[in-house]
Amino acid sequence: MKKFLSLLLAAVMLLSVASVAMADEVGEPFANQVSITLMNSKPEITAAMQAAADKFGAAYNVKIEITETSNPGETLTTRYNSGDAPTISVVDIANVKDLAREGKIADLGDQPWAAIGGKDMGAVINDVLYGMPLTIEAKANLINKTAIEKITGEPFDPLKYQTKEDFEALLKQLREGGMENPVIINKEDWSIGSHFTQYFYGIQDGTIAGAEAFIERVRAGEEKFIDNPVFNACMDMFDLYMEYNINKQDPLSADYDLNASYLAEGEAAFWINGTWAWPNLAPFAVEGQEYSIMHMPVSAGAQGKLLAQATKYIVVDKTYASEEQQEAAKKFLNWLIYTADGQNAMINDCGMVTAFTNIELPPSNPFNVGLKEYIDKGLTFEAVTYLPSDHRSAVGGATMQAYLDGAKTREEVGAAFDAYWAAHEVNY
Amino acid sequence: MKQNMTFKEKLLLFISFAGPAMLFFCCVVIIPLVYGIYLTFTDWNGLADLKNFVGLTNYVTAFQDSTFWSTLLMTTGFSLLSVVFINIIAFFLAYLLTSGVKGQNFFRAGFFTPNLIGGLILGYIWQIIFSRVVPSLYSAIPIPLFQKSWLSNPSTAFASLVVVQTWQLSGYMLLIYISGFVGISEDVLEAANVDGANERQTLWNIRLPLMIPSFVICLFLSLTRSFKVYDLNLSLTAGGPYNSTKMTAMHIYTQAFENHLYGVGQAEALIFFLVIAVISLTQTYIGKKREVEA
Amino acid sequence: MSESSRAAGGHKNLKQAGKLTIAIIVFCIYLFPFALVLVNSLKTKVSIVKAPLMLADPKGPQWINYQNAIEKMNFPRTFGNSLFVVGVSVILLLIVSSMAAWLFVRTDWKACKISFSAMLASMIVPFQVVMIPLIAIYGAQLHWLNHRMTMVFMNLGFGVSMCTFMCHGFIKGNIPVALEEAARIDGAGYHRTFFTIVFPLLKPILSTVAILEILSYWNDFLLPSMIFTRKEFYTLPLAIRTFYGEFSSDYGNIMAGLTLSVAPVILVYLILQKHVIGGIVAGAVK
Repeated sequence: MKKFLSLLLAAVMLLSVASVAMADEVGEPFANQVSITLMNSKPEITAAMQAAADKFGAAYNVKIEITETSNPGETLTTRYNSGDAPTISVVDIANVKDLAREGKIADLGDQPWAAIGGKDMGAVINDVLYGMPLTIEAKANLINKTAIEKITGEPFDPLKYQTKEDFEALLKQLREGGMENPVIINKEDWSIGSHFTQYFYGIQDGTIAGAEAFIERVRAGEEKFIDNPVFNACMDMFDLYMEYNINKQDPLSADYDLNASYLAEGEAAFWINGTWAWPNLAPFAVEGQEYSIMHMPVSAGAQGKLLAQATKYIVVDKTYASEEQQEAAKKFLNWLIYTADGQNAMINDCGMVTAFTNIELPPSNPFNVGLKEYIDKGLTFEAVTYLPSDHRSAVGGATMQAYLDGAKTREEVGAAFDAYWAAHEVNY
Repeated sequence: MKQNMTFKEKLLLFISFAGPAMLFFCCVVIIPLVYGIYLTFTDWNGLADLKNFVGLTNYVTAFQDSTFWSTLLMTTGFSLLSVVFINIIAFFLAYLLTSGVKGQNFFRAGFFTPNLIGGLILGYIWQIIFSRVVPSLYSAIPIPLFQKSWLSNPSTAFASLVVVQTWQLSGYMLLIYISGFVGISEDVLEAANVDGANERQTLWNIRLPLMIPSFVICLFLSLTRSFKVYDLNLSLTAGGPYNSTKMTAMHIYTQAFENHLYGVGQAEALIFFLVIAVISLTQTYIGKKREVEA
Repeated sequence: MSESSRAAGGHKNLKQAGKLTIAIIVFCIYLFPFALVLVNSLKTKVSIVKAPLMLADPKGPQWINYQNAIEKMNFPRTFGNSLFVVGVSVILLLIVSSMAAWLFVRTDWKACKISFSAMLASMIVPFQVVMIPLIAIYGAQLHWLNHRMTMVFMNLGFGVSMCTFMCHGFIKGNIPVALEEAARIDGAGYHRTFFTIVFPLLKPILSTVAILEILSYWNDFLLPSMIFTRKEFYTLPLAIRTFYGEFSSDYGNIMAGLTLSVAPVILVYLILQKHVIGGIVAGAVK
């Protein structure tokens, strides 16, 4: 009986898989093979993506060749100028804006996935959906739960820590319990200069409108950073992090991989980073240690919420790609979202969390499990889309590194941001 | 060369000897360069289909870009320091390795290895050395210089760049100096020996003057390459800590590709080119004059 | 043997020993970074990161890094691409530039002077200035991307300046005109004179230039990355690049790949080095 049931179950599962694999949204295979290219700026998923593309290609008669880049802006510039633009590009929001402004990429608003989370989390510029949200990532404190619980002796619940004061008490307790410096701060400009500075705007009141209003006030000279309570709350938080930083002897010599090992092995408990770091941490992970994520416990807007948003978008070229190639590209996206194989590739092989509400597969790594919990509780907020692409290179990176190194005061940091906004055009 | 050649003969000779080289050179360097100069007079952002003519606006912006000038000053300092170290070290190593030291072929192969590692991996390896190996020396040699990573402080990070540039290019220039030393005719050296000149006299009075052509080449190459440094800058310090070691080439790159000011970046690149041209051609001119005198 | 010469001999030995010591010390400093690559190419990522100076991985030598590098880089194909591009480029470069250099030295025509000065000046041009125009012309207009010969063509264009410059100096200083004139009197044309008399004498400088250019072409990344956008044309540096991640990289694979890709260059260097020294013989005969 038992055997029969399990066989039946397997048969039902097979059937459902088979029906999903030929999902209506994807459409019919091509009669003649179509060749397209994909430029990936998220190198850690290239292999998994190529495997998925091959599987899709075999079923739909499409050949997808994936190349990767660590600098999507520059690569797009060269590829578009050489007349060899990739049919599909996996890029950052700034690149989507640049390409959309020049009319290089296709409007994806008519795609079926737009309605199931694609438009809500996608790259929408002037009300046109240009980018499919590939992955949702959280910028957060990555945590080693086991290491915390070993010292506090009680189960760790991130939501218990709502304010800076709560968190400070915990850090103190950890230090007294033998974990001298529980916090890990990266030195990289994308981390402290880009991700952390997004809080300055993002938690003004936790909405994008609030962030834009703040930027407008600064640009009009009505408000200075140093007088802004949220900026000060963020910097108070940063000061606290710095006080407990495991790299504080020489903060700018922090090594990304060593940082991963500190968290993995429980030498520290909090790593200011994001959910994408799982592949970086995994080689150091210790059997039996529990890892997760938590929001930044700062007392301002969006309190207790996690900064989470789509971080990579998929765009489809319309300048050099033929109708057929664009068609093939769109088919591939639908295949990823609507078929069991595609979903499996995104969630399990690439290790991502997606925006699409039809996907029911559970997330595949501890950081994403933590992120999913916050999403399910509705405890996330968005930021970033309004920041110009040179925000990091022109002001964020250098200023925050200097502050971390003690070479700049808070006043000087504030003044640098004031000056940046005074001199820059904004196009939201 | 025959004195009384007709124009047709000259033309044929030019085309058959210099023609291929000049064809490749013009197609790959000159034509794109001219097109690049044209772009400095437009507001092109790197992606747009339209290019509007904006006259000298980009040059005005470039001249007002104080970051550009401060990076240029630092790049000049970096280049001068590097050139001095590179050439002194390369020259004496080349001398050492052509003076009949045991196993000199083996050594030459070793000094050549810096050239083998290029690109980003070079930066990663040296990052390990400056941020990990250096502080670990502190327990053995407790001087403040070894207390912290060299890459987390602006002045030591700058020094790291000079060290790696010297390490890499001295291995390169070494090869050119070796071929210079080897090219000195044995007769001359023998004559000096017969006249009773000691080793130091031979080096200073015979070899050094005959080495001037090698010096001219090496100074020119090391100067222009140090000025143009980009890969090393990106991979070792990435301009950090806090943009304190951002050299001109990297700044130009940021302007063109991150700030989308392609025309300004290109204009700055041309100004940069003129600066290097003035410095390196003056130096080459002086060297060539010496060559004639010697 | 007289007293004084014996004393000088002892002095000489001491001096030789001193030179040898200096050479060994400097040698170790120069070799250190490369040794790091070699040692770490056999370690796991964890031990590379945590103990870069440790000589051996506690889990034993990680030959798997080499296996991974060979498989993931598609080493035979990639190596073949590199070999073809670099080989053809360097051979053509040596012929083309030495011919131009010879003409530039032996004539005082205005065309030659202008050409030579233009080449000199071009060595100063930062690559970024011509990068976008270059691919706009040869990519978008002429559709020359993804051909190995395009890469050869561009290598030649960027390489002729330095190669001509170095040959120019060598011909001027080391090749006596008298030799050529003798051949001319015997009735040889300019081309025959060049290839039978001048070209063989250029061996030392051409070997040096060959080494330098092989190195820069072999390690070149930026230009090939723009020309070759299809994996089937990837050269070694492009293939190694696939081991880099956005935040952290597969260091073991990178170092193994690097070791594999530089081994042939060392071999070529050892062969060509003999010809650099061959110059001594040529000088002595003369």
